[in-house]
Amino acid sequence: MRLVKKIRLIVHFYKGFCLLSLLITAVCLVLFWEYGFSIFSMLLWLKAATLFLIFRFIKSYKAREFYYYHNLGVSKMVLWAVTLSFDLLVYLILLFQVNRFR
Amino acid sequence: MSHVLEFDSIRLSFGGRMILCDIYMKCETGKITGLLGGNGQGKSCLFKIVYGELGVEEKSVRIDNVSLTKGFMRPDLLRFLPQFDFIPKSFSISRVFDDFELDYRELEKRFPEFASKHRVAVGKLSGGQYRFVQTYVILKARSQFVIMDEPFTHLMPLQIEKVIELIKEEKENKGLLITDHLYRPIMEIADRLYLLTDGKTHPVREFAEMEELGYVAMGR
Repeated sequence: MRLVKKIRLIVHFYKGFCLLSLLITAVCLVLFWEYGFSIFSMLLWLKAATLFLIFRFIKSYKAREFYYYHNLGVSKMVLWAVTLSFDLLVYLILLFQVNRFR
Repeated sequence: MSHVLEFDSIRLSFGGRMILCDIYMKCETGKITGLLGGNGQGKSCLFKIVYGELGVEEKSVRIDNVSLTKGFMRPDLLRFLPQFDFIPKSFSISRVFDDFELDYRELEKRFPEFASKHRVAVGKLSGGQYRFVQTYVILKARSQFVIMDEPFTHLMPLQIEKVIELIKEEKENKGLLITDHLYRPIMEIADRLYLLTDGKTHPVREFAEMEELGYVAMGR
């Protein structure tokens, strides 16, 4: 399967929870703007915990759809590794951007 | 080119109850291998194990004598039709065909009920059409083997005939492994038949043999 198609599948998978995840990121950014580095580790834990809850929810809610990805050669491991890494990266980049303008 | 899928040494137990213990099945290109068995005998679990979806302590799955532990990583070798709907409902039929590298026009030409529906989301199709599209893409997509778990579920008799036609066609290029509660079509199309009972697979030929092994067919 071509890489473009794999990326398209991963994007579709990410769309399933990106809004909720971005909302949590936004909340964390507002808190970081208010309180700064004093709550940095707490915000990291908050983000990690909510991502874990999303992971658990999607894992059971979309369990059947994983067969679609598997039949196209995209494993669960790839789906989660790519989307969660991207989501965390965006989170950290935005946190550092907020810190620059504080 | 001909290929052989074989699996054995599979053991599965739930809560101390042995579900699968003495399994051997073989499937070849150009042949349909049928698996029958009552409810709860472990047919779906067996197929999930072969596909690599369900992890077990012991298993041996081989294609041309080469071990295959995670079949789901190799759609070029093995594709799987689960017994439930698995295509995201928001996907249009053309998107699905594009993902599986299939030509939608072929479906339209052969099955006029799908004419001009390429932009329709699969979730908007009737239950039978939705299931038919899923069966079609799995059967038609390039692969050496196809495992089908209850392909006739949700289908009307006319659609079942169409699926049987497709299965017979595709066996020219693939090896097919099928299970369903509708035993008649399975017995009709299978070149090799197994009965799964008490955790063991038994090669069978006639219905009487299956009855001797305790198979109670639905709707007989």
